[in-house]
Amino acid sequence: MSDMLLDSIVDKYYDKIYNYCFAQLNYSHHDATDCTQEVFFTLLKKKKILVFSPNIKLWLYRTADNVIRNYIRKNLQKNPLDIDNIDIPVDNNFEVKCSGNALDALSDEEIALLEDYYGEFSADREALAQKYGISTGNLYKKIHDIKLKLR
Amino acid sequence: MDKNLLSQCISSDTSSDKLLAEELHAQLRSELDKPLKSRDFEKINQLTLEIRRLSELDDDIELKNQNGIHYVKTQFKENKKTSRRFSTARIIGSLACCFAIVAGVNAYSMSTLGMSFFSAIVNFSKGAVSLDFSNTSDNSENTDNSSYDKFGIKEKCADYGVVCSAPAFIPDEFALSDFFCEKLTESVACSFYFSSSDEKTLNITVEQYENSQDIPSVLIPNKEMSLQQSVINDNLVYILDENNCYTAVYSSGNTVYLFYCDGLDYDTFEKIIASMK
Repeated sequence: MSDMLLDSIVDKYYDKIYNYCFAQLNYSHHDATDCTQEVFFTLLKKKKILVFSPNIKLWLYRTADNVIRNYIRKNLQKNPLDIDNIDIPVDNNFEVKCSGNALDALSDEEIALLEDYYGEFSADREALAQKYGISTGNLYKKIHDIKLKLR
Repeated sequence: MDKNLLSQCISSDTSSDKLLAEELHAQLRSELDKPLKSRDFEKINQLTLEIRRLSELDDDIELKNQNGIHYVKTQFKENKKTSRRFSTARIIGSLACCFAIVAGVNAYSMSTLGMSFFSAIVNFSKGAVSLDFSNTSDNSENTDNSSYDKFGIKEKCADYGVVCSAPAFIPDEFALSDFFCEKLTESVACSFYFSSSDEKTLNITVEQYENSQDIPSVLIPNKEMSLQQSVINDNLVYILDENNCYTAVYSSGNTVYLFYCDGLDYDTFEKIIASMK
């Protein structure tokens, strides 16, 4: 039972704590893994204190903050968090895949959005987002999802 | 727009994913800039997952994280084999109850303890007892560093900025077997582990918060546990009796004191708490 409990905490929170570390450590898998494992080893060390903890989740995030801060101090220069540190690939073969009747797979609404995105509103995406009553983030997400459909 | 032209536009567009990544990154940064307690951890998780997926490294990360989970679990088991210090099944059983209750998986009857048994400081929720220490008074009048503190608890805590009381009485059979102290975001926690040659254990943990409002409510699982309150040295002490293993908790000002013993009789346990000064 005891082992099962600890295992269930690891199963439930490992990926979330990893993402939390990944986001704060310049999207470095190596650094995020080091810190995530440190958080769970701290959990192991402090089981007795946690007997009275009402909120394992908050404790884990609080510990992660502490671990990340120490890790940055010891191992990393204080670079600002930068999205350029993660490699967003460009699909060079997209033209081939998008040719032919691929657009037939899209709904009328999706076609209309693409026409607006690449046509009238190509220079002002914020205005396009306003037209659809969504945030620019959601607009890019919709375009991304539509493009995924075409792949 | 002509479909062929639209196809061409889509094909030549190499910036939309980058724009999406920048947008997600900005939202993530905004969330991470908030104080810890105000952060939406689920939102942070979702945004990071989106960024991971955009990078197309996600499958690789997922696989590596599975390995990471396996590694951590293996370390847990190795630790259990090599260290008796943390292997008290009873404690983990308690943690299991806490976890189950917090997760809403299980609910025990509130009647186990009785609503009228405790003062207003105790709240009942989902079958567990929640103790709110955020407004307790500071009764730590005697926190002088005198010679009674033979294990140097006060001195060790002071090294980490924690000013606390320490027991003047700990049975002679006990020796300090381990100690660790850690600075957390809102608190500093120092734990002292004592053991005897006949395998009795005594743990004392002092956790000092920046202010008493930061002290989280204490949730105690009540299944098969006898919980009582007692006033010791003007402090309201909550004591759990679990098959003759005792756990006591109280707060004084911005400090929470936690005691746990296995193998001691109740009178000796209470005498240790009463000797805190």
